Amino acid sequence: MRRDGPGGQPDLFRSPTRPAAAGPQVLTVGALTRHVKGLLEPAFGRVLVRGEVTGYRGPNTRGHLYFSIKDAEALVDVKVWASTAPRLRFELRDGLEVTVDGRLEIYAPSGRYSLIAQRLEPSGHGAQALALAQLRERLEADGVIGPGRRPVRPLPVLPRRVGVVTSRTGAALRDFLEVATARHPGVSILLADARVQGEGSAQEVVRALERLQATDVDVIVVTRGGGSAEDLWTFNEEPVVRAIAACRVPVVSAIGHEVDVTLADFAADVRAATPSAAAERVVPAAAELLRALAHWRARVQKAAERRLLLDAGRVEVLRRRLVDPRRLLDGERLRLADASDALAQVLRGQLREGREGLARDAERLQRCHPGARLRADRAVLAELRGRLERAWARGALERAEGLRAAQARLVRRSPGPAVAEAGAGLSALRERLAGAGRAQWDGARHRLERSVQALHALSPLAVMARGYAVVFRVDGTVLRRAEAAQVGEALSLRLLPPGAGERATLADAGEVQVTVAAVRPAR
Amino acid sequence: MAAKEKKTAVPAEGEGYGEVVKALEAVVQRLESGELSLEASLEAFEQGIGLVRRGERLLKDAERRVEELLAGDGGTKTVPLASRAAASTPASSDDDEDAPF
Repeated sequence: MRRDGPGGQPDLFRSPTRPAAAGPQVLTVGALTRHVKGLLEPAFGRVLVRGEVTGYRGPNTRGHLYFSIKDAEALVDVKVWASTAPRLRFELRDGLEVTVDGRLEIYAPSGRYSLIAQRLEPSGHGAQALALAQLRERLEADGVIGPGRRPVRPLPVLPRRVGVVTSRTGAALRDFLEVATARHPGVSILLADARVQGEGSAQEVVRALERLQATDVDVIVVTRGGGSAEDLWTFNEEPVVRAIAACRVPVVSAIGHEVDVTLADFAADVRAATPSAAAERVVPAAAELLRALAHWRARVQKAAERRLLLDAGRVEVLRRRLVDPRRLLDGERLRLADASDALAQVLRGQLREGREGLARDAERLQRCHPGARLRADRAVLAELRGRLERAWARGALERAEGLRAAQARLVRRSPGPAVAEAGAGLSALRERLAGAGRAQWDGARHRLERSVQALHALSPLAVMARGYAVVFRVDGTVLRRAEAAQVGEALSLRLLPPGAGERATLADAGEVQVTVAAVRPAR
Repeated sequence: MAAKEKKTAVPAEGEGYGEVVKALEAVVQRLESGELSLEASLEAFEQGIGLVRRGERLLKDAERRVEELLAGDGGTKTVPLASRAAASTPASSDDDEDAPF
């Protein structure tokens, strides 16, 4: 500090570094600004200023955000450096009322002051609440969470291997392992270490999920212990939520405490309140499962026993109904004997009837046979001949007796000439008599021969022997009328060879099989 | 009847506990229906007991493996968790020092 000049007037040409105490001084712009900066910046330090966002144009090429906040009276510029910008958890836009947490800065080159924001929160909401609401809307629209999400998958009854995404050193892992192992000492667990809070943790969680899906785990637990909303923020990060939703195996989320709910919880298949609760959901109590198995075993055994008893009951009933097979056999044998007797009787009767019928038929047949007819006729002939001969003999005798009587009378009554004459007449008579007998015999024989011939001619076989055929149908009947034949019908022509003997039968006939080509009825 | 006699498919050897229990449930239901022939029920019985034993094996013979999946290109290499955790705890430089969870 220099002393004042003479007269107590301010010396306008004094060094501008002098304070104003000595009167108005001329300062350089730089000096003034430096002075203001030096006074104001430390005086305000950290400030919280609320105002409405205006002039927001998004990050510039370097990633810094420049905008202003204003109220009814004033406006102040706000700068968010690129290093701070990623921490914003909501989208800035004009009109939004925010609270800037930062420090006052005087920017010498422009002479303007502004707020350098360290943190930025929408007024009336937490930044996270707004960000959450915005992200949630977007994820719901994409069907990652909410009503449109993929269906929740059931957890394996007994997991082969449980994947765990959490921090290797965290209490969450310790709690989880403790409960899981207590429930099932043989459980297999595969940890994929990931930081669960702070910058870059979301990426680590996503990577851990991906790595676990390449292994044989059949369920994944994403967990971390309790903490502030800020600490749990990783599990509201979009990539984490999407990775959980897209996971190949069911995911159980257990983030923070009971009251903490993150978007990850909405994307998971099961939300557990705490790491311990997650272990209880994922790892079944082996003792309980063994008890259940014992129960199943009992049911299997009981059902099988019941089935066997049922059968045993049936067997008992059947056994009671079962008679000694030998006794049964005896009875059967008796019944069989009776039946066979009855059968034999019936058969014998039928046989007898058949035999008699056959004999009758044979007799009739015999009578019908041309040969038999011939023999019968011959017999008739022989009888006729006998009668003839006897008649002849009797006639001759009678006549001889008459002759003898006449001769005697003659001899008695008249002598020689009359006798000679009578003798001559007698011999003539005798000749005539002989001739008449012969003629009668011949006539009878001729008649007989004629009738035999007629008979022979009437025999169908004789007709056939003359070259006629008989037409039989398939059923063995004789076709008599052309109209009765059907086109396409198979017929059999029976022919006897020419000169077939008198005693030929149908069996000696040859056969020609023909098919009816056309039928022309008789006129 | 023919459909009732149909056997329950036994889950393949690699199948998990859930499949075993599901098959077991089907066998018991068939058996309890009482509609099986004696032969089929004996078969179902054997099948059921076999499945119970298999379930018990899956539980009792499970080999406890608590491992950590190592980060790396393959991503499938594992080390036992206890040793790794013990070895790395003193030098956990890459962890948040103040992580209370």
